[in-house]
Amino acid sequence: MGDGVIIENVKHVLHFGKEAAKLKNRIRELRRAMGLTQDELAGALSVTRQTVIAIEKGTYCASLPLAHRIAVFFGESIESIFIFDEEDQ
Amino acid sequence: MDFKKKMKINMIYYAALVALGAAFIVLRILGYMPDIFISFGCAYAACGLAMLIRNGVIISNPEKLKKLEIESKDERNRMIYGKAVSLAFNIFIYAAAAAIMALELVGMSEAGLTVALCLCGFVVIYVVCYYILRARS
Repeated sequence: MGDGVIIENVKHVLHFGKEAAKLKNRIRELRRAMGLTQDELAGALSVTRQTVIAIEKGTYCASLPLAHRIAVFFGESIESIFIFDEEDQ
Repeated sequence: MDFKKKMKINMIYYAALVALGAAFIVLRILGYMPDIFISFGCAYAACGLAMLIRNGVIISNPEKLKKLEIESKDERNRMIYGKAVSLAFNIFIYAAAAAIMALELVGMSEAGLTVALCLCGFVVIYVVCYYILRARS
């Protein structure tokens, strides 16, 4: 384990949440359209309300299985919910 | 495995911890163990008992059980836990290295050597875990 690896890992952990902000999504819009609260959506997806808040704000990037569950729940495709902007990356 | 069943199995471990703590206390009182074991005994018994009561209360309340299941399986919570452990480990390496140098400078070489050996142990465990996780993923 090189010294650089440790420093990079510390930097990565300290930047937690910042890199995910570039991945926008339509979850808030879809949730409101269905008339659901964050708590109800969290219960339906078997995650905590804090996770739903973080995904909506874009500070947490959902894993592929969770993104799939969200897409199935809203009856849309993953790419129509999560907007990946290549120019921002 | 069903979460409720997992909690029940954990209760067996906590009961064993209480028994171990009680055994340490009794053996110390009878004079078979050094003084330090009374502290270990109290700590094990208290922690085990607290966890036993906590699990008992949660199992008897389905709403709390469901909430705890979601919280423990939540992917963001798991990721935060993993990152916190990772950061703590990285900081520990630097802190231990500084402690070894400081202990050597103040002439406490035996303590420095102990910290150095602990550090080596951690690195060995890290390498083993790294290869196990790499093989599984």
